[in-house]
Amino acid sequence: MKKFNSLFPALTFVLAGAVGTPLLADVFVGGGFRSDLTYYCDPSDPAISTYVAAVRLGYRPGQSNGGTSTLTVNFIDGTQQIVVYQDVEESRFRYPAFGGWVGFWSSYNNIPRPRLRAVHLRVIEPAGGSDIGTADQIFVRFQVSNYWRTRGCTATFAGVLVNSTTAAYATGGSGLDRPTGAPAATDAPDFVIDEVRDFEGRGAGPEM
Amino acid sequence: MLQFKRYLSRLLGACSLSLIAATGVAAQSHYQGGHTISEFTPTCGDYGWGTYEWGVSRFRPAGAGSNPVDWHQISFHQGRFSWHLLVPAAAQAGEWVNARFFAIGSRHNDQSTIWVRLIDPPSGILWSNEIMLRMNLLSFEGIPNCDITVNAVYRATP
Repeated sequence: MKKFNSLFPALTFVLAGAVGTPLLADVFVGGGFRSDLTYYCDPSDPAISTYVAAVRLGYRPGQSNGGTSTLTVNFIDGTQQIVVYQDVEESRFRYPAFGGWVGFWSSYNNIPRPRLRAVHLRVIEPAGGSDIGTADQIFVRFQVSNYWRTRGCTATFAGVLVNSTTAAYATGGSGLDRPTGAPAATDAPDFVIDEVRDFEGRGAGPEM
Repeated sequence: MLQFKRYLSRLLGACSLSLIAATGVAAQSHYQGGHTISEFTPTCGDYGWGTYEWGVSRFRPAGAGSNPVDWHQISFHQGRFSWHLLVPAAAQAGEWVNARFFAIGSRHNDQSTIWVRLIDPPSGILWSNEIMLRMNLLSFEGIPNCDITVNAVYRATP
């Protein structure tokens, strides 16, 4: 029987190799926005729920990253990261997470610990696909609770992301029914920026 | 004067209708969000483009607020390259239209015309005040046979 004790781990190792694990973890990058901050994010600001910030997003699904799911949000003034040590599925469940912020003016671990809910985890490309771990293009919508190190503060992050691990040049033409000839010169207005807005970073949260 | 206002109102409604059909929501004047660029053709690679790009983006629908009536305005900001697109307000998903392209930080700093085709977004994932924009572009950055696909999502900003 002792012989089998050493055989089982070896057999498991061989089977795991036969089943195959991805050679490269799938890393998605893209852009979107942060929105729907709740009242407790900053009770002193009556407009808190209306703020929208354009952000760059990164997401590593646990499904193709060894069971660790990571959401990264790049603001103008720093980067927020939310890590869940399991696969995250689209559901109403709020996964216990670990958070960290690295900014120009401050850096910290998120306490109380945040929770992450995947409101939407959808495959855009390939059309009709359902494997979020290895898709080419995805749409995500996450809600982060205890955001900004503030109990009761929830923020929503939504975006489109491309699989940077598997992205490749489109070969064999684009498959599009292309129009013929060059587009005609169009009588478009000049490019004018008619007002000045910034991207409302405020990633670090209110002064504490 | 009242009749003229009604006419203008109908005109604005018609202009924003086509994009609303493609995106599924009513238009407000200013949206913020982000985008990806993918499905670059190999010709793009000859001019230094990789296989994907991403960044933050703004969208101003035609006819909303003080925006131009005939054109949707979209700006895309990537790390070292930004570009701006004017898409005809009457553009329908699935048809090629002439858009106007302008970029800075690239080899192609002047205005030019470009073929654009909107793609219907997937249904059932957008909340109110959100827009998803998907489109194919031909001859990106003025490079013949450099074709790309853009996916973008936006939220209205008050």
